[in-house]
This record gives sequence, structure tokens and C-alpha cells, in this order.
Amino acid sequence: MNIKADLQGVLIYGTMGLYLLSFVSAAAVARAGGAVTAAKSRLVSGVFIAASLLSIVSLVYRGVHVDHLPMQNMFEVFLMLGACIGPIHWLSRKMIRRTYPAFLAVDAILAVIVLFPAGFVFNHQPQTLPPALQSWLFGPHVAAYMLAYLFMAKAAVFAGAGLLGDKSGVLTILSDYAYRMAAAGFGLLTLGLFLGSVWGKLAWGDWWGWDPKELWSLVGWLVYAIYFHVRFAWPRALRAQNALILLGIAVIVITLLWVNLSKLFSGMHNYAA
Amino acid sequence: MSTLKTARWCMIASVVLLAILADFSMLGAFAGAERARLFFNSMPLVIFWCVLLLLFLAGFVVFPSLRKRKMLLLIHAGLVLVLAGGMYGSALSHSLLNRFTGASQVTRAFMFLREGHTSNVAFLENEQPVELPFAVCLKDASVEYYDQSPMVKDYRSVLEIFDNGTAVRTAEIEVNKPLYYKGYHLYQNTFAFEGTSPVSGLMVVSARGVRLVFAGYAMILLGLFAHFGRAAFAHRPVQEDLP
Repeated sequence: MNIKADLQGVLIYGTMGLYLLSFVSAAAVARAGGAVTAAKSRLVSGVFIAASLLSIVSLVYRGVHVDHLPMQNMFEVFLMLGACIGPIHWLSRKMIRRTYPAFLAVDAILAVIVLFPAGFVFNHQPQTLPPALQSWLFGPHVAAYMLAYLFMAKAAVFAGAGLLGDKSGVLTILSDYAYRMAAAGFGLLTLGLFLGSVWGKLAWGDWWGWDPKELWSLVGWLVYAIYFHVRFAWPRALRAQNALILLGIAVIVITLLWVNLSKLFSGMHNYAA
Repeated sequence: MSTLKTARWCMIASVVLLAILADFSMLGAFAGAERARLFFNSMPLVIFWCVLLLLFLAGFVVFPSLRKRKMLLLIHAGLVLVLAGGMYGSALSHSLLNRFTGASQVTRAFMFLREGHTSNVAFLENEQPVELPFAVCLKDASVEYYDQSPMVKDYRSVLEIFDNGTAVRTAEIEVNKPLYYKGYHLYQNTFAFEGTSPVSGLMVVSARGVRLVFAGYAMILLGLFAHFGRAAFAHRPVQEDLP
């Protein structure tokens, strides 16, 4: 457990607390079914918005504190993921024009999950930016991946819920939601992949180095490519489609954490991510 | 075979090949960069890449929607360009072209220059020397550190390129900012000191195929954002609500 006893810590734990509160209140409203007062509804939204704003403040504070884009190490990556939940939630509502409190609860708990490693696992020692990271591509490459990962995580939630549901009508609707999230995420996932490739050419001489991080990110990309082809060719095979989405998020988690996991395997080529 | 059956088999083949590539990539990730590079350039994989390319071309023939829906066409044509660019820039392609046209075989080589020195010889990974079609002179080299710290902020070299004896270009390079000349990129790779004089380590990499690949990237991204942007935001009548 790596507890942060400074202002950064206060900001993170505050954000996590607000998102947790948001989750609990939204889940309660969802449980209560239809009849909820407008005031209660606004309160639930308000807590979420407050959490979202605090998460952004937390990220900006970090950026100012370390004097570079806060995307350099694992701590900053998860901090950024947390800050992106708010914008992703807002964007998703334009794609899924249903405002169930359950959706808010899902995004809130996702925020708590991605902020947990930043809050309690990774150390937040500031680092100077080495020459390799001093590129205009750094920000867009990481940001594209962060947004993509969150969309894919939301797709996975819908896909999983669809698989768990028993009524075929529910499966169809949730599969449609999963598709929209995956569709939103895939373009960003591809953008992240290509920006990384272009950056690799600029920094290391190769637009593809065949190293573990690149290969795992390719695996993830391919899983979603397969998903879209399966959906096109076998549109009624909803369970298979959703299973692919779940496989996709599993690969994304491996990609994100491989650098750390690979330390468990001696003799693995380590990659300076 | 009926067109529907052909289409079905083509689709199955696509999914299978994508899955095979995903499995290869996982194996490669476990094997590490060096072994993965050798594996993906090995003869069985050369055959795989060719089959994949042929499947793309077959797809354009078999699926009318791939020709008619312009965004799908863009995406898949872009992928063909990336594949083609990758194959064109590969080590195998370099040695084949060298055999038939005498073009330089060098895909990647290294130079170590002291300030004021000029050289047209670079060294491969196996330390074998190769001659470059131009000469490089290191006019200046410097390191920049973060304030009061041993952490390096930047390495810089000022290079002058000589082609047939005449100076054709002078430019400053640093990490993330290579110099391009005649089909090659020159990179700031390493930096060392021999006593107090700096030795700039350069990496020379063939740029063959890169334009194809990056053009492919642009097409794919354009197609993806247009196609999926529409899909993600599309209005659709929902028959029933979630309970």
C-alpha cells in the first residue's frame, strides 16, 4: 500500500471518495426504479460532476507539479484515466441517448477502479522528462489510448451485462450499446497505435519494433478488428460478439500492465514504457 | 461456388488470419523483440504476409460493399498500403533489390563521430562496415542537463552531409528529430565522452516504404473515424427499453 500523504494524495482520495459517493447514490436511485424526485436526480448528477471536476484538478495539479505532461509513469497514466471518465461519460450520452442512473453508477465505479492504482499502488515520485519523451507526439499518443481504453472498458461492461442477462431483448439492446462504445474506442485505439508508430520512427528509427508492448497492443487491436468483422458477417451471433469484447478488454489490461508483469518473468525483454 | 458461399468463406478466412496474426503477436511478445523480429521476417511468415495481402485483394473482388462503401474501401486500401510498405521496407526486400538493381542493402547501421570528423562508413549490427552513398561530418555535439541534476535533458549534433565531395546539407539533429537525406534517416542514437571530447553515436536507417505506410495510416484513420463516427452517434429506433 502506497498512501500519499501530500496535496496530491488529498486530491486523489477526495476524487475517489466523491466517485464512490456518486456510485452509491446512483445505484440507490437505479434500485428505486422509476419514481425519483427531480432534486434527488440533480443531486446524483451533481456529485458525479463534482468528482469529475476534482479529478481534472488533480491531473492539472500533477502536470504543474512535475512541469511536464502528466503521462510519463504508471501513476500518471492511471491519474489521467480517472480524469478522462467525466468527458467520456458526457460523450457516451451523445451516443446512447438513454440516461439510466445505472449508466452513471457504472462510470463512477469505473473511475474508482482506475484511480485505485494511482491512489494506492504506484509511487508518485516526480521524474524529469528524458529526451525520448520530448516530442509533440507524447500527449496525443497517450491521450488517444487513455480515451480508447475507457470506451473499451464501457463496451466490456455492456457486453458482460448482456451476456449475464437472460432476456434476448436485453441482450440486443446492450449489444448495441457495446457496439457503439467499441466503435467510438476503435478509432481512438487505432490512432494511438499509429501515433506510437510514427513516434517510434522519429525517435528510434523504426515504425514497428516488434517489442512486447507493441505486439500486445497489436493483439488488442486485432481482437476488436475480429469483433467488427464477426458483427458484420454474423449479426445475430450476439454472444460471440460480446465474448470478443470481453477478450479485448482482457488484452488491454495485459497491454497496460505487461511492463510490470514482465518483471515476474526473468529473461523477458523489458520495454521502457 | 455461389457468390454467397465465396463471401462466407472469404469472411471466415479473414477472421482466421486475423486470429493467427494475433496468436503470432502474443508468441512474439513472450519471445522478446529480437526473437520476434526474426520470427516475423522468417520465410513461413513471409508466406503468411503474402497470403494476407492476397486475401485483402480477394476481398475487394468478393465483397461489393468493400468497393461501394467508400469509407470501408479507404480503410482496407490503407491496410494494403501498410502491408505493402512494410514488405517493401523489409530486410528481405532490401537484399532482393540489392541483387537486382544494386541499390544499397543497408536497413540500419551505426556511426560514431568525433567533433570535426567526417566519414562515409557505417557499421551494421554485426560490426561489418558498409559504405554509405554520402559522407557525414559532425560539426558540433552537445549535451544539455536539467538544472542541478545529472539527468540528461537533450543530446544534440550538428551534421553536414557531403555528396560527391560537395556539402549539400547542414542540420541539427536530436532525439525525436532525425535528418533525412537520399532515402535515409540519420538519428541521434547515443552520446559518449572520450575524455572531454564528445563522440556522437548516429544511427542510419533506410526510409524505404515509410511513405507508403504513413499514407496507409492516414487513409485508415480517415476511414475509421468517418465510418465509426457515424455508427456511434447514429439514431436508431429502440423497440423496447431496459427493464
